[in-house]
Amino acid sequence: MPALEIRGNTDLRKALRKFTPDLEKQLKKELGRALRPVVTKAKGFVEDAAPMRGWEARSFSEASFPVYNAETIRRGIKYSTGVSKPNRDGFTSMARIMNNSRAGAIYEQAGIKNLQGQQWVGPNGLAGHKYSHSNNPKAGAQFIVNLPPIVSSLKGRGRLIYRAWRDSRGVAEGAAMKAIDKATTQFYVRNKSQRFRRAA
Amino acid sequence: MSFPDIVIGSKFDAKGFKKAESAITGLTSKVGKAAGALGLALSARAAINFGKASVKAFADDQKAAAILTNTLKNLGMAFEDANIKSFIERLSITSGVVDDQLRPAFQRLLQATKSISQSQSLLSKAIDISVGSSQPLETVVLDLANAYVGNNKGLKKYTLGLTAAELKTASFDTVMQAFNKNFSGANAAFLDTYAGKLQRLTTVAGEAKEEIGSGLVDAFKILGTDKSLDNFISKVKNLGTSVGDFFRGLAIGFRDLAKMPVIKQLIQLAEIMLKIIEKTVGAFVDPFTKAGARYRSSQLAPASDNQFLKDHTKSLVDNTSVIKANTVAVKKMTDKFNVQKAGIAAALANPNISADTRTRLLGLQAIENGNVAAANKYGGMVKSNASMASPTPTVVNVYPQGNVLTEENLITSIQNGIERNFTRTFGPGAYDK
Repeated sequence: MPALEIRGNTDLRKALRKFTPDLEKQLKKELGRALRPVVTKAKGFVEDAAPMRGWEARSFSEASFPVYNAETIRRGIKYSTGVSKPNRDGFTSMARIMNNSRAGAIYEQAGIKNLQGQQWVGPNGLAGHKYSHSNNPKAGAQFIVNLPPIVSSLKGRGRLIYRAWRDSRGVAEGAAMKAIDKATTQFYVRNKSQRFRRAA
Repeated sequence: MSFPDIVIGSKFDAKGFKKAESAITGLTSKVGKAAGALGLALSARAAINFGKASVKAFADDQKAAAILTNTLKNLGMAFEDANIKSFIERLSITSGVVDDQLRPAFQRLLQATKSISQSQSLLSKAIDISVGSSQPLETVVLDLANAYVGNNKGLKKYTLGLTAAELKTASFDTVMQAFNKNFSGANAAFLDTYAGKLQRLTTVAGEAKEEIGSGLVDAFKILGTDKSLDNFISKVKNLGTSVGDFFRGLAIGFRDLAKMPVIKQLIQLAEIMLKIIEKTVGAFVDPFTKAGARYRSSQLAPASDNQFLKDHTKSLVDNTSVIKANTVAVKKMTDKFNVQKAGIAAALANPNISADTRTRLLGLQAIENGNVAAANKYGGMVKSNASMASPTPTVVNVYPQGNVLTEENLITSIQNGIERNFTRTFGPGAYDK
């Protein structure tokens, strides 16, 4: 039984950093190598011009809905090889691909729940972000129909990162999981021979 | 805003939770919710759980009631048991405090004061004080009971405006005056708020649960040979499962049946027909429904309801024929009173009138009867010779003679008048003038 008990991703990465920094570096490098092509491809799916005239950038700001900016969206698509914070179910991830801009998130997943858009209540209807308060009852449907079709992958549905993930056909995931397994296995092998312990 | 992302190498990380127990319970609740979301025997399970909870609520309620009854018996007030139960029920509904709290509170006050009316009054005030001071009812009642016997130690927390020395020596009346000044009406004000209304609803729901539990216990006592709770629980479980299965099977049957195109169309047609029938039948059923409601309120036995409805319907039918007969009679009476017609008939009866006069009279009669064709015919036959003299007027003036006191008098008088005028006009010696 190893002296050091590893529970979950957080412990593993901490232990790697502390006891086997070379394994940590190797893991990060291999994760990056696996995920970079997916991110590049996802950035390639971002249209240079706004898909509809009404979503173009304006010189003035009149609402909280973000305007379309291809550069902002591309900048928001990235990958991370650090351990994520635990979500409310207690799960963490070793690596992830993100689409971290507001416009990018809208472009990615608009229409995912309902292709007709949100329920329309009008400007004076029920308050809340679940409803459409546009003057145009068909605003949601018209917005969604102007975007490219939603694509399904094993990790979710969307137009950018999920489309790129689907197109990778499991290669990226395989490579990432292989890197994680390799680092974990090598760590335990070294622990057997060296017995990593906490400082007194 | 949560952004879309793809996670790789996701693993459960116990370090994310502060305590291991919360991690396990957190996962369990998520799994439980997922199972519920999948609909795995949720309805039957919910029914079982509700049945158990309601029986437990009823059992607890019974226990509390039994304890209070025993206290009353010990104090020699067993005869007031029913009144006190009813008081507590009413107070629970009006104040929004559950009876589980009210009974022990009342018991404590009763033990201290030995007076039911005093205890009732103090309990109502204790509720106001509890709401106003945000102290639990149990604490307030304990302090009041102690204050009643001269122990004012616990009253400091209510900030009554009395000094420590005053509080030590104050009489119970002084203390209650201070309480009234500070907290009177607090509960009423609270119940007016949203939270208060919610509390009242929750209390009532709790009472309903106890009632359901009581009903369930009685129902399954009847069904079960063994009166133990285990038997009851298994019966609830079996019932819950079999009821759930029954409705599931029914729903599946209807769903599959309704999918068949012909059946679907039949169902739609049936719906339309039902709507039409509803409107038609409603007009017919309504009077009977009203009659039924009337007799229900008069508390007649069902057999006599039916008999009365029969008699009522029969009398309606009889009345209708009477009305018809009366209508004919009234028409006849109206004709009798038609003076014009009477005069023309009387004139036509005279054999000595000329042909032309007869024609004119017939034409008039046709006009009176509304016979247009006959009137035109006779009108065409009448000679336009205005010099043709008829010593008699074409219209007989008939007027009643004497005082008309009754219907019969009027008829007789008019008949006499017609006869008199007729005789004068058409009778022998008429042309002698």
